[in-house]
Amino acid sequence: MQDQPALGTVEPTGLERVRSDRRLRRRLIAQPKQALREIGIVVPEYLEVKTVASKGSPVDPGEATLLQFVLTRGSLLSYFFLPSPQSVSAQQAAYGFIVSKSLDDPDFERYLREDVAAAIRKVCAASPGTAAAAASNGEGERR
Amino acid sequence: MKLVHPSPRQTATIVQAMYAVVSAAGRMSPQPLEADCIAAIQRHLLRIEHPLAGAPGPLPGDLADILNTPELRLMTVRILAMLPVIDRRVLPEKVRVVDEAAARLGVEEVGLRILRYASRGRYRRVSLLMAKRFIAWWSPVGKARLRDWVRFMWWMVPRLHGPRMARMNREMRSRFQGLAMLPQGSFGRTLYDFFGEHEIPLPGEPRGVPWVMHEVYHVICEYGVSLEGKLLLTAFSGSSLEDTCLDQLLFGLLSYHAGKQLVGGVVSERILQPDDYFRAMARGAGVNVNLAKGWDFWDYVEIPACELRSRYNLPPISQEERDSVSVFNALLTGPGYSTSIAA
Repeated sequence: MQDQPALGTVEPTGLERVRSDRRLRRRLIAQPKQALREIGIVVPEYLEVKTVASKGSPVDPGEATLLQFVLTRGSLLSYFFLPSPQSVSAQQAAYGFIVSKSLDDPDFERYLREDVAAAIRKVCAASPGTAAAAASNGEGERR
Repeated sequence: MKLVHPSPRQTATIVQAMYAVVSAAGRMSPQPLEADCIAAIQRHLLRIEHPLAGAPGPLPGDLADILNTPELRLMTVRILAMLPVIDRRVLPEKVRVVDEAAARLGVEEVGLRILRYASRGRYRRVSLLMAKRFIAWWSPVGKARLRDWVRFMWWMVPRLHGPRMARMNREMRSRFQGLAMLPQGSFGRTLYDFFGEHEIPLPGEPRGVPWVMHEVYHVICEYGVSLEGKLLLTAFSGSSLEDTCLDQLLFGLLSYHAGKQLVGGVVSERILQPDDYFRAMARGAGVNVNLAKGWDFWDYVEIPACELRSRYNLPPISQEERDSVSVFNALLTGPGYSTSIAA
């Protein structure tokens, strides 16, 4: 049985599977909380997660190249993005700039980790000591 | 969109009309984001230092008596038209209140048709209507005839062009490439760098479109290409225009805040930050030139971008806005912009 990451973990792993595994992409849209866990992103159970899927550009090949994960907890809201490294438009929509054109660039993981951490921290801010502390790593504070 | 500074009594009437829309004439409770938007509208568009509170209820009975000038009425209807999108559902009950207000005020706004289609979930019709209005604006006769649709599509797809047009495309590309020789910070060089940094093909290049207005708006308003920046760009451009004001505003809100797919590109949900959005609208409304009509950017390429903004009554990005918007990477930075790269 595959080891499961601990609650509050924000250590994305195996992101290449998002590009290569169509079923995983579909699960990220239909059942985001469970599917995110498969790539090392553990969203606290008490948060609702919704995925908004689209193409960074209408001419992007294939399926959705940008996934937005909207986290809610009551009236609290935050979000983070998972852009395809193959779409510069999706990267720019997510981050405002092109991260890299190299599919294996570790910056993709770094930006995702910072984005997720900031999003979880924001929506959990009302209950310090829970997931906010777990997600807090002193990095980016985008959303 | 011309902003009118209303009197205190007019302000109270507009506020109550806004609450009538978000409460569907008193049938539902306003959501917190809707109340936040109404407060932000008062701060940035109506220029009220201390926003008035409102309550769910119908449109004021004396709406047409109090809002007694065409400019004030048009501004009010446009503001009301944005509100049904804030809860992302675009409920027909709320749109009906906007329609009623427009009827009472005698305002005919084509953009309200977009809102009606959206309230019925007919987003293809929304896209078609927006495209038709755009092509009518682009057409030399001001109408979207069949030949204008065909001509526009052909014009926008260089791969369809024959030898003569291919030569003209090469000349156009060469002219745009010449912008690289202008000094850093000039409007033309800033625009050229914008194309380069975001890997947008230049006009005349095989995958480029012979069209720079969208990029010009990015450079002029200083909002970037992140989704949050795109939303602010639509707020700015919509409020800087008269003819297609609601087209731009509703496109941005429907695509980037309500997650409605209109053109097959990127969408998102719930990214609207009320103060950022309506501040951007106020900036756009202050612009004293119509960039979309009779304005040729080649006439201005050598002018420093910051000076050009000043001429157009567009002050540098305020520290308040910078602090708020920078967290979303929604500002363009560096030479030609009012925010340094380090910020």
